[in-house]
Order: sequence, then C-alpha cells, then structure tokens
Amino acid sequence: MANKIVKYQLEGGTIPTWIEDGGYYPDTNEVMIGATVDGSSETGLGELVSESAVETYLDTYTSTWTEEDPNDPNATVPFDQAQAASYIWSKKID
Amino acid sequence: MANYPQLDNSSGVWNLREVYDAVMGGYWPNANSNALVAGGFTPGYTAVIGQFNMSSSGNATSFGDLSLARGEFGGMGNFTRGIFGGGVYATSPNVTDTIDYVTFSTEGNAADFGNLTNSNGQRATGTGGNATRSLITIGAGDSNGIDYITPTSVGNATFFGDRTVSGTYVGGVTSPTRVCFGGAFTPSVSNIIDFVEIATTGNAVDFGDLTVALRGAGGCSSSTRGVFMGGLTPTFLTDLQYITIASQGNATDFGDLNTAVRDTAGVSNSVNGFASSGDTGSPDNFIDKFVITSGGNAVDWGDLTIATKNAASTSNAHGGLNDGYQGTRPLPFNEAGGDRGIFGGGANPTILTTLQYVTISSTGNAQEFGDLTLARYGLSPMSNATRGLWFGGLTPTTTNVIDYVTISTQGNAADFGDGTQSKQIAAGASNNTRGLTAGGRVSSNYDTDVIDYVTISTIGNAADFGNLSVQRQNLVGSQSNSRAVFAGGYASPGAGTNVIDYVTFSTIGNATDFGDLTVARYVLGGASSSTRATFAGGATPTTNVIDYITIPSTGNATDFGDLTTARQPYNMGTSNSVRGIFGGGYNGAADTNTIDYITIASTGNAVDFGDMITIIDKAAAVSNGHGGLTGG
Repeated sequence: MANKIVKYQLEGGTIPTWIEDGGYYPDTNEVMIGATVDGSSETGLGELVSESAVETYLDTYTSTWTEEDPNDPNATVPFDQAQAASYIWSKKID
Repeated sequence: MANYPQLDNSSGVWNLREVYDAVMGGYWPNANSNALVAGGFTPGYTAVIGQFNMSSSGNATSFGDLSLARGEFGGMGNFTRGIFGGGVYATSPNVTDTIDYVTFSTEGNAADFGNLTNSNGQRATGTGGNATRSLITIGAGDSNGIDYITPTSVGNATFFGDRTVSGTYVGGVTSPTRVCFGGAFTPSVSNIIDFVEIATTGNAVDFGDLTVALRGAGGCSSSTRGVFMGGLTPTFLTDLQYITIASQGNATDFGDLNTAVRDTAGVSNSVNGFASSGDTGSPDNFIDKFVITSGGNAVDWGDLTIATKNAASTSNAHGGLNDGYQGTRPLPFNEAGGDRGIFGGGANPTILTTLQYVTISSTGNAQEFGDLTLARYGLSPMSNATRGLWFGGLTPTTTNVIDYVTISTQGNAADFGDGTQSKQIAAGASNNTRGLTAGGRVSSNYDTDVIDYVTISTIGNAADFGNLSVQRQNLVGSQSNSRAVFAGGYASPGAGTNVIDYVTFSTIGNATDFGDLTVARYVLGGASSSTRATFAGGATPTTNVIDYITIPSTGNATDFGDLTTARQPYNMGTSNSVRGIFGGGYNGAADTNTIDYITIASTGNAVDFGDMITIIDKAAAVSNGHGGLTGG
C-alpha cells in the first residue's frame, strides 16, 4: 500500500475523508499540504511526487516567511523550507 | 427506556439527582459545547478559526476567519461569544492590540470588539474570566499587566492590575471567581503561579509553583481545577499539571499529552480538557483530550483543519462559566428572557428627560437610551416584554402624561395616552397585559387611593381600576404574573406606613390587605421574580433595609439583607426575574448614582452593580424581564 503527498483544500469546511494527516503550511487561499489515507488514489489539487517537489512548491509562497529563532524568542529566522519539506515527506508511505 | 447520558454529553434524559449533583459539584456539562482554535503561525500567519465538538471526538471544521491573521494572542469568552485579543501579524508594526469576537452559535468571521490598553499585545496569552468579565495578560507592551473586558458588550479593555512577575508566554486557567496565571518567559523561564479575583481589580497574588519552570504552557479548566499543558523549559514538555483553583499551592503532576508541545491552545468544558495545535518541532494539527476531573494521560481526539502554533482558543463551556462552582446555588432560569432595565426621568435637582439603560444580567454603568417626551420626576413605571411606559410625575407641576418606548430599541419615547388624574409619586406595577398606577399625590396635601390601568399593547388613555386599601403616596409597586402588590408609602399628614396591599391584574376592583413590611417606610424601590417581591431602602428616616414577600401567598415581609448604602431608590428598582437592581436615590444628604443588585431567589446583602449616568432621584425603572412577565 502507499499514500500520496498532495495539495488540497477543505471540502465544505471539513477535512476531506481521504486526508490522513494534513493542514500543513496553508497559503493565503488555504491550499494546504497533507498525506492521503494509505491506499487512496486521491490527488487533491495535485500530487507532490518528491521531497524536492514539496520544497519547490513551498518556495512559491513561503519565501518571505519567518519563524521564531529557537535561541531567542525576540528574534526571527527565515522559514526553513528544506526542513519543512523533509517533515512533510516523512509522512509518505511507499 | 430513558437514555442516561455521559457527564460530558448532556443529550438525553437526566436523573434529577444527577443534575443536582453535577451542577452543585461543578461538572455540569454544556451540551454541544464548542471549542474554537484561531489563527497562529503555520508558519505564515493565518486567520483561520476552526471549531470542534468537546463532547464527541472527530476532526475540526471551519468556523470563519479572524479580523486579522495573527499569532501569539489569547482567547476568552462567555456563553455566547468567543473573543480574541492581542497578537503579532505579518506587516509593520507587526504587534497589535486588536480584540475581535465571534458568536458561537453563528459560524462566520470575527468582528471588531475594541483594543487592549497597550498597542503591543504580542504574546497576550494568559486568559480567563466568567460570564461577565474576561481577563487577558497584556503581552510584550506591558509584560506584567492584565486587562479586562466585558464580553457582553464591545469596547476597549480596561487595566485590571499587574502580575507578580513580568513575562510573556503565560498560561491562564479560570474558575467563575478566580483566574490563575502560570509560567512565563521573563526572559528566563518561570515556575510562578499567581492569581486575581475576577470581580475586583488589582494586582495578582502568589498562588504557588508549577512543577517546573517553563513558558508557553496551554491552560484549561473546569470550574474547580486548572490544568497547565506542555510548555518549554527549553525542552518541549508532555506534562499535564493541575491546581485546585479555589485554594493556593503548588501544581501536581496529572498525566501526559501524546506529544511534547509548546504554545499549545488549551480549551475545555466542565469535564474534558483539550490541548490542540502548537509547536511539536513544527506547527501541528493535533487535538488531545483528557478528563479534567479524574486526571490521566491524554488520548487522540481528532485533527484541526490546519497545522498551526501560537494559536488562541476559547469555548462556551470553560471553567469560568459554571454556576455550580463550590456549591453556590445555580442561578434560576429567567423565564421572561428580557434582560434590559431602563430608568426614565428623575431629578438631580435638574428635572430630566433622560432614559438610561443597563443589562441586568451583567454588571456595569448605565448607558444613554434616549429621552422622555416630557422632563419629569416622581413618575411611575410599567412595562411588558416589549414596551416600557412612564406615567405622570412632576414637571414641576403634576402631569397625567403617559409615554412609552420599545425596550429592545434605543430611542426617544413617544406619547401613549393620559392617566385619569394628574399625579406624582404613585406606584407602578404590570404584567404582560396591563399596567397599573396606584396612589400618589394629586396636589399639595391631597393624596389619592385611585388605581388606574392601561392595556400596554394598545396606545390610549388609562381607565379606573379600583382603589388602594389605604390612601397614600411614595408607595412602590411590584408584581407576579397575576398579582400587583403595593408596599409602604406615606399617608399625609402622617408618617411612613408598613401597609402592603394587592390586586389581581385580571380583576378590576379594590385592593386587599396583604401584610406588613418589616419596617414602615416610603420612597422605597421594588424588584420581583414571578414569586418573590423585594423592597429596598426608603425613608424611616433613610434606611438600607431590604425585605421580601412571597407573592402568591399573603403575609408579612421577611428580612432579606441590606443595600450597600442607606438610600431612597424610589421606583428605581426592577429585575430580570433573577436579579433585582436598585438605582440612585437620595441618601439623606445628597442624591446618589449607585446601582446595587441582589439575587432575588436568595437572601443576602446587595452588591455593587455600577453607576447611573448621573446622580439621580425619583426616576422610574422598567424592564422587559420582571416578575410580572414570567410564569402564569
């Protein structure tokens, strides 16, 4: 069995039944990234077929994002797209 | 066969003994209670508000959007409103004092509520409160400051006091009377728990210590127990630790969340506590649930619609909203539903046209409603669930004018009709059909025993109803749905009287003796439920006495308690059938602006409610929820 990493939106305000774990990194249109249910053929708004594809997609809307500096709550650091892509890809089941 | 529900789900049929025990024990559930989790970092700022049911597991659904996408802020609320304050957002100046709110029963976007007292509300995360007052730590702009708002209205926050420690990333837990704040980024981490009493303002007092110094713990509570969840030490924590809010002391280990998390959004009903979202190494969508009353480890409840951290959360069933707290008798249900009191006219000594109103179930100062058609004082109040009427008064000559307002709609009064006599300082009483005025002074040294009536729903002149048992003025009226009672007064020439007499609204005729007040007096105020009439203050000379009668029976009055100060709130008492309020009046030396309240079903001394717009004497108070409008 396998799942997919996909882009998707809520359906009627609810999480699609075919999303197992989602809601990650929504853009301004609330298009989010999630992992589908194991065995699902759903691809939502498009499948992200590799970790690098996730990072490339994130770069289209997160280049200005910042996060709290883990060493200084009063400072920020750039959003780590590579780390985020790795985190998302860890939910992939082959 | 009856379906006896679980304590975290009140649908079905309850054994009355269980209901009583649950309310008195502080764990009565709120059916279909909603949890809202709003905004946060994803790590982009989001405005999304998600909702989930706290009585049945499942994923969150979309509720609406905040007015400003932001994170690092706090959630508050009462039974009807979810309110969010402070935060940080994407564009300069980044930090905000925004307060916005949603209505739990209506999905949709948040609307503007007001502003915090400091423009920098970043990390305004420590929250709590009850049905009438919500508290929030101000955040980075005043890192030990606490603000409060009145959730039933809108408007800017007011400064409440200071925490014992300066810091942000504070967690808050609440009972109906006390808010406790735990942890902080100071910029080191703190284990301090301190607390404030919601009904007062002032600085926090030390409560005890968390099990470990931390920042960014979530908070949730039943009416008796507060739970701090997760946090950063700088290690991310799974810890659940609780305090007994009514006591003082250190927190105790309670159990663990499924995931180590900081800056999680804590929310609860009377039984279940939830940690949702937060930083688990990245923004997360988890919802963990545990049972506040028993402790133990959390279980998975579902997922939020988005993965976020530093979100704000609130619910319509949190620990500050349980009337059963510590055995306090639950408030009786307000059958009439009306909750607005309006004071009309009066003098200070300028003769006033002013109409001013209050929301009886909350506390606070009176606000402007509109104007009477004619400036006067010593007038008489009558009202049903829709209309408020004022009869007669002194302009400074006596008048028979009756004017009215629609209680739910602010604005000026309109002409209703005329009384059968021009008179002042008469009593007023009413049910949903009829309004009565009784007694009063027609001219110098001439008091009357005439009772007039109007049909409140029909504009027109008054008609004769009958006569009082004793001719007098400066008496007060009160009522159940079926009976109008008239108490006290002054028979001229003479002195204050203890007479109480009554009529039946539906039967035109003369009044019958009911019994006696505990203290003979005049210029007193009255407020009633459907079964109990209370009479407050008056002149014997000036007194703070409150006494009461049981309207369906007859008999003498019984002591109830005392007003906060001795005064003469003549005709300036009214109620929503649960709470009686008494405004203004002469205190023997000067007119006052005091408004006191009592809980009619109990006995005890009155408590400060707020202030009239000005000092005032001999206005008259109507409401759309008094005892004449319930039952029957």
